[in-house]
Amino acid sequence: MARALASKLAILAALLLLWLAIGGYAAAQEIGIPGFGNLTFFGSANFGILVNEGELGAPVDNDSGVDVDLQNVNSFVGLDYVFDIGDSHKIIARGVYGGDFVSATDSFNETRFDLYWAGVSNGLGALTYGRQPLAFLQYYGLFIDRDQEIYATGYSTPFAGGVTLSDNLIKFASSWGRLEFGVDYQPPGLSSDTAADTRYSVGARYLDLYSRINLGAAADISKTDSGEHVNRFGAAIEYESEQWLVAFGGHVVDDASQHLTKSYNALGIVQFTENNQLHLTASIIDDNDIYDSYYGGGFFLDHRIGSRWTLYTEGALTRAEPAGGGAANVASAVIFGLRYDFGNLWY
Amino acid sequence: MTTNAKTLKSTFGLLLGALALAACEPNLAELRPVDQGFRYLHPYPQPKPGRSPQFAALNGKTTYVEVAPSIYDKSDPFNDPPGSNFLNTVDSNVFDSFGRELPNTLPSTPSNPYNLQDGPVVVTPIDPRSPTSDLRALFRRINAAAVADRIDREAFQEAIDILEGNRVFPERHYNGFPLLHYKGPTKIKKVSPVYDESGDLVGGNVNIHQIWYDSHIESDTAFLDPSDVFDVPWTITYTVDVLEAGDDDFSPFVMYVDDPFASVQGSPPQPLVAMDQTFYPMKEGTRNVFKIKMSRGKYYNLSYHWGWRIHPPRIQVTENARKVINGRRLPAYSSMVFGDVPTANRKTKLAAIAKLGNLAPAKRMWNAFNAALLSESSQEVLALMEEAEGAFDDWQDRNSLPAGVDPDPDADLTLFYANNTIYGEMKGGGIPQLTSWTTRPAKVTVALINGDYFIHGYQNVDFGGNRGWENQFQSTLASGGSGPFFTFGRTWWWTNAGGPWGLIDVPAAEGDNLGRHKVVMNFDFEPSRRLRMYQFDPYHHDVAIWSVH
Repeated sequence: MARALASKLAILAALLLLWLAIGGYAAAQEIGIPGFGNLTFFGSANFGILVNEGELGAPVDNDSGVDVDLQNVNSFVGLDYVFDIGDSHKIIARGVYGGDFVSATDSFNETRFDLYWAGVSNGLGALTYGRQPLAFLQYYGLFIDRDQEIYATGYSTPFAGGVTLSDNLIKFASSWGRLEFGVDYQPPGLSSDTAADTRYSVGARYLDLYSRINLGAAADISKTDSGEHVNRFGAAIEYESEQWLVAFGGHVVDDASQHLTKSYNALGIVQFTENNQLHLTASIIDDNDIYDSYYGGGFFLDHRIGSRWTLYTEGALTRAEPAGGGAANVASAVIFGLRYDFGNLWY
Repeated sequence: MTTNAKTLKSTFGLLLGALALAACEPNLAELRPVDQGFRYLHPYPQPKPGRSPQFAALNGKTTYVEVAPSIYDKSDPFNDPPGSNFLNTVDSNVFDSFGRELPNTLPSTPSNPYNLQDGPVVVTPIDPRSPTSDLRALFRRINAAAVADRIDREAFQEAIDILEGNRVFPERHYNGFPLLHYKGPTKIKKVSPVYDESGDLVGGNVNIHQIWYDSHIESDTAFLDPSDVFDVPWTITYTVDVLEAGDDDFSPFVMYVDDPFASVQGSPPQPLVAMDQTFYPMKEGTRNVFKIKMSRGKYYNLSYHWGWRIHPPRIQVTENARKVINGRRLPAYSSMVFGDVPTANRKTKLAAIAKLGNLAPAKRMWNAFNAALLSESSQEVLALMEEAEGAFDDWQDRNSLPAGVDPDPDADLTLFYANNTIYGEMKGGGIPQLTSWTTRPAKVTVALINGDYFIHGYQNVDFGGNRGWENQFQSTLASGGSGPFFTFGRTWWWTNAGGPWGLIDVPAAEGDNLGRHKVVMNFDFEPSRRLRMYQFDPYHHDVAIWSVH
């Protein structure tokens, strides 16, 4: 019953995205609450044909063969609210739902496209509460993970211990000039997340040092229901030229397993025409609990059509040897997709 | 070899081949032959300085602002020019944060100093009579009649028609342009799209009519909707009538934002670049028709039309009508105060004019002429005209506060909102130059006084002091121009106070009680040598501006 309802809702959401894609966004732009803040309806319809062989990151071949699927990549819809109440104070809120709008069979609960938070901001910074991105993602992870689905950088994928969102998070974020920093606290006993009953996450980044260098670092300390501590530390550096960018980052995860999980990641972006970018990524995971060795590589090539449409292809390849010996497993995935973004404050 | 390995090998091979074949475009060495060094990205976006933390006093009457620090090393641009914030000239369009070139953002080249003018300027002679010259003549006529113990009611009505911008002077080029600024809701235009023969959208155009006289620029367009030309370049066809004492260089300073889709959804587009699109000399008594090339509609923020000879007063802004403040598009703020169509009938007109403060010089003139219209005494008329002529003098000088308003002795400058415009006065009087601020740090206190019966706002913008400015304009001496000597240049702009960092409101006047607010800003960068700060009312922009050199 619940599943049938979810499917109907998903189909309705898919139709909504279709309507927006063919021009209904003009109506969606006018959903404000005059005098009571900016309300912005936004989203992304992102679908593609995925060709994959094996499971990315898996150390053992599951003999799944080659699959070809029409895939919802990371479609989402959201609402953003900002109400300037005067005296330099604002009420802010955001809700985003990302899911499989075709069949509703996949859960995106662990991705960054399912969040909801509210709070206040002023000259001191912003204080928010809800399900929201962790400082560990904001100040470290995004340096090497640019929001694509199958990058295989070893960060966004779960096999290197990366984290993105958390429930019931109290977040304070602020900035001074080009220094940005944030602190998160997740009180115990509130979260439905079995991986972290309580959590502290801190991070900072400094942007545009000498106009071109960005630096970031973050730490995330969490404790599970069973009392197990998981500590994550990450740091990244990025050099940004006019037409290209290169970033390096590494993080270490210290959990109850016997060995530390260390992840080293590199990202390069080349803008070779004004509408085309190529991203190349590489990652190594040093973790003797699951892998004897892990190497991942990925690419993303896009062609932007105006501001709203993006035609792209993205691929990833991982080679992983299981801990304790055994043959290396190579898995791959390539997607050819089309993305349509809509909704911002003016248009 | 497995299928996946073959697929990936082929894909990577194709990608590497594409990379090898496609060198980055454009070539930076050709684009910027004189590289200024590691820290300068221009014509690609200069770094963003960050936010300005703002704090309001507990009584709500003062806003303290810590303006974002400079992205450059400390320098002294005024005593040791050009300063670290000066950008070498680049003969190229600029780029957005997606790395895309913004067409029509190179205002001047050595071979074509007026690079953004689409075709020649069409100049024709016109009747130069202005509201100033006609009001002056009416004062003489009314006073002469009153001295002869006659009351010239026809002249009173004529003066009222001039003040209200009533369309009863078809032979005058200022016909329809009021001195009282209550017509905002009717000053909205939409850029008309242009399609080619196959029906593809290839551009757009909008016509704007302006009059320039004395210290005034008045326009028939305060808001522009460019949404139909979102992804294509377009043009503005300006018809500029230069009336008495209106000679100047036509310099529309366009301000562009970054691609709206480069912002986090829900956030406004980020500041990008601004530039004088031309700097073309115009003579009194001429109509000048310019066609100015604009970039894509999605980048449009506003056009700041200014004349350097009498600046800050000679100024008018046409702004993107799509902009939103607290859920309302900008034109809605004008309609909230003045009604949807303030010119619909006499009742709506009077209701709209009633919103303008009675200390405003133009309103004082209007009150005096209306009182004279009802008067039966020539002596009373003479007294009323004395008041009106005093207001007439005040109206012509927006660089000092009008009668009845005193400057704040504790402020570096005092701004007075009245008649939906801004009068300003520097501490101690004199020209609007903030000479005390040449290097960082600097503390600037601005006193804001509202004489209008509706809320005004305050926003302060930097024209390249923090992110960099370029004197891009080429010499135009051969054509009688003065481009490179006075232009604001091409600048990477940023907001110092108000706007995205928190709205700064100035309460409405109530009866004789003026609304007051104060803004204290700590600057941690050196200003541009051409303009220290751009100050305006974000709710009612049009002519509510008072910038400081």
